[in-house]
Amino acid sequence: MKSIQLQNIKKTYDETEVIRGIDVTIEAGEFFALVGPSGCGKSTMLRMIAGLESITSGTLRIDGVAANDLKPSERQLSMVFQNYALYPHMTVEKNITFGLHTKGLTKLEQRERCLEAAETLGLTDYLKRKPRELSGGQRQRVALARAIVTESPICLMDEPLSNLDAKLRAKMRSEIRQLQRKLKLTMIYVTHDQVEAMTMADRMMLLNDGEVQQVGQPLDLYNKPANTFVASFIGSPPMNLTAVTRSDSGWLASDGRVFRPNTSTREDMGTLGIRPEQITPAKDEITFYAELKNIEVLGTETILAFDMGGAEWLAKWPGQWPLAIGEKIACYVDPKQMSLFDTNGNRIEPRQPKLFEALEVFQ
Amino acid sequence: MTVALPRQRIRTRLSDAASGLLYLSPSIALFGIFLVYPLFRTIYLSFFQTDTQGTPLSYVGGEHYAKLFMSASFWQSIQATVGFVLLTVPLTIIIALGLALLANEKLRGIGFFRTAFSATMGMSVAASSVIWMFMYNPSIGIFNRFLEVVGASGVQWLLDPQYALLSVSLATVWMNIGFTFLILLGGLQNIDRTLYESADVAGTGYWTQLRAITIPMLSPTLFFVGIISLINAFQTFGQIDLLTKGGPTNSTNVIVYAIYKDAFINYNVGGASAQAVLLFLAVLALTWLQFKLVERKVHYQ
Amino acid sequence: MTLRKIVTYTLLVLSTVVMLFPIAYAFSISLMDGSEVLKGNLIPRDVTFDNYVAAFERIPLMTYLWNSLVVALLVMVGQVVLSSLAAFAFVFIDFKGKGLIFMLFLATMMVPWEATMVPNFLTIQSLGWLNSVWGLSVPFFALAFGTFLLRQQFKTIPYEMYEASQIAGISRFRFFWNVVLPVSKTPLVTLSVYSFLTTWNMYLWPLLVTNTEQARTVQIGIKQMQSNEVASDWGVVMAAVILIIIPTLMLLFAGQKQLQEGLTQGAIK
Repeated sequence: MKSIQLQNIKKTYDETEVIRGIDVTIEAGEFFALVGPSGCGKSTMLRMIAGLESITSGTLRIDGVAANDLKPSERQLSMVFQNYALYPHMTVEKNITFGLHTKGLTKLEQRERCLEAAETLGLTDYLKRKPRELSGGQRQRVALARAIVTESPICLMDEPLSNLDAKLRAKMRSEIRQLQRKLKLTMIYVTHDQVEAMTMADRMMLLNDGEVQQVGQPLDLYNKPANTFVASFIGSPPMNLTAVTRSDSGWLASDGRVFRPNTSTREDMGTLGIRPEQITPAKDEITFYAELKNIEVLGTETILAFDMGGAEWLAKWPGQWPLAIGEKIACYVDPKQMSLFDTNGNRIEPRQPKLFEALEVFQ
Repeated sequence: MTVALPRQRIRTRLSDAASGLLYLSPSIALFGIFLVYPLFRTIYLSFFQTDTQGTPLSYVGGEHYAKLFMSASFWQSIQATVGFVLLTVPLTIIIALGLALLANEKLRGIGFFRTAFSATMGMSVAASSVIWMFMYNPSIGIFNRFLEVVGASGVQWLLDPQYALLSVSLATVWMNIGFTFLILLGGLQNIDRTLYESADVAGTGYWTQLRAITIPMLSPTLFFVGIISLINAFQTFGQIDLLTKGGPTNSTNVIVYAIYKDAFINYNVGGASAQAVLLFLAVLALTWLQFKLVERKVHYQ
Repeated sequence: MTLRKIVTYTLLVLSTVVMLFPIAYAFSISLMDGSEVLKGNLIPRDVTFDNYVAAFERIPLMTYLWNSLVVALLVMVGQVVLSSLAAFAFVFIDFKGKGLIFMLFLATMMVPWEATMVPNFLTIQSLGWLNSVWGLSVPFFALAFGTFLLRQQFKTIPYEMYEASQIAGISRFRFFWNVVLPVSKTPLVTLSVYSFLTTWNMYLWPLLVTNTEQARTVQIGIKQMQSNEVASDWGVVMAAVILIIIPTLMLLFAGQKQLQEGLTQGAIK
């Protein structure tokens, strides 16, 4: 098991900075997801770790040793590509073993390792086939087999599931996760799909425009988004946001609806965020009324759309709700679950425990 | 550790450059020896008087060029070359395009016709020229036999200054159709079928589709074929050597044939080099000009 | 059958007749005896193969065919090897000045080969390569068109394949040999066919650098024959013509599809 340390890593292409200084340590044996919209720099980041892309400045350490100038093959890692990069003219077996000779393995050892990897991934019956004779899912497995057969302690994956259909993707998510645990791999997994990151990762890093937005456990990013970008990227549907201004009675949306989040700040303006699943049907206390613009009944849940200060908000209610468009419904949100962001979009931390709150009043 | 980094980085970059050059070196070496060096050597020799072995004896400045511009035979060879180009290039492309359009139809047995139309690509200039020489034979060749049958008098196809260039050009068009056809057919087959399908749905006819879809979409290929044909036409030698030897009265003495005669028969290496330089400049200029002119009108996908 | 089909077929057949006529005519003449040829017949009354026997007797046709074969194969191998190495460097190796070198490669296509033939002849002469297969082949090994064609093909190979091999520690040359070449079979065949055809059919250069019977290629052989036999024995000349076009026509027919696809790709993309 190997750890990976990034120290102020930067990447510039012709004067344009695409990675603006990244500091993070990926622990040995950790499943670490790199997430962000396309063009955010996550693939560049991964390729710099792999050694396929040079590092403009900063230091990359693999197991404590500076690795900036090591060749890809010297970094003790394997990689799975989005398009799998299988060699089309070679059999599955040859695809898996091609390159093992560089590790000084005999033909017999190569074959043994290949059979073992094929066994793990259920490819034993396909070893003599060519990639074009395989389904998308099987090709994906060949790519995985090629990665694990090297027994490298570090595994990098670049959007490995994006070419699969939704059902297969869900299945492979859990398989990859199990494989990573079983082989104790240090995994860096790039994806644009926040669901993949949330479900698979021990920790994740959200990147936007070459800058780190937040690093942490998936639930930290979900529950305490560091800024409005994280809030709107994580969660499906994403967190509802609307601009608010401070008044005596609380925070006002532009249509006059009032929210009283459990935060205190000296700011006069900000952005209020509430997750769709945290908007519930009101029982006694009512936070606001919503006039329904659209309703999607999905069987296990119902998605309601309504207007909030000029922004479209969604609420996600469990179960099936026989509601009509135009209907006004009473909604409740626990103030503790409201997030407030300052004018720069950064999260304002909720009010401190009671003692400090009392002190603040006296200030 | 960080101190060692820059040096290492330089080393990997150097090794990339070194291995890149290693892979390129055989090509670069041969281009150097058989293309770049002789090109400059030709330019150099064009300013010298040489012995029969091409050893420069004395610097003569622009004398060879001046002599060329003063000589009637040089202008005649320019005239023959230009005439030859104008007679062969457009005709070859038009005929090959017609054949390619025919052969692009989805019909049973079309493969046979495609093979037949490309056949001349497998024919050498020498073999083709010998066949055409026989066809042009004044007494037993097919052309005069045909004229005889229709009651016209025979023509000295290759010996009459009026007809010789035309005859050679006709033979050349036939020889070049195979290659041109093959490329144009490939270009046609690369056009997205759905364009025609949507035109069919819109109810447009064959000629409208040809004008509105085929020709514009084929224009990059036509452009390529145009440049290649033009350059090839300037380089014509074999059929001239076999059919007319530049005659009669120099009417088919195209530039490459003139260079050949000057250098290897008259041993006037300096004069031949001057003509070679002019040939090079002409091809360069024409390629550039055609590129500039056609580029703007060409529709790239 | 629709009217359009009938018209198309008619045009196809007519064009085929016109295009193939000279070849068929030559074949027909090659089967006639001398007196029939002089009568100007189109089709032989009595088919004879004597001309073919005579063709081998009058000139050392076997030697010429062998020389042409050796030279064409040498150039073919040389062009394929050099072009694929160069194309590999252009696609898979990053180094400063690559773009410039590529432009220079392209620029060589603008130099008419005939403009350089005098110094080339002198070079070959001073190397002592006159009348040798090396003089006939080596000057043509470097081919910008071939490099360009293969570069287009290599660019379609996913770059990730190269990166995957780098991560696996596979050497550059091994990647070239075990991956790039095997997946590029079609364009390599195209280039081979193209090289063979053009070299077999080469005329001016063999005319310059060969002057002995042992060294000549078939194209020069046919020229010799034609200038010696004019007006006397056209049947024999045509028999020789048919013999020297058979290899290239067969190669063309076998490789026509690849050639068309490959050349088009080199032409446009």
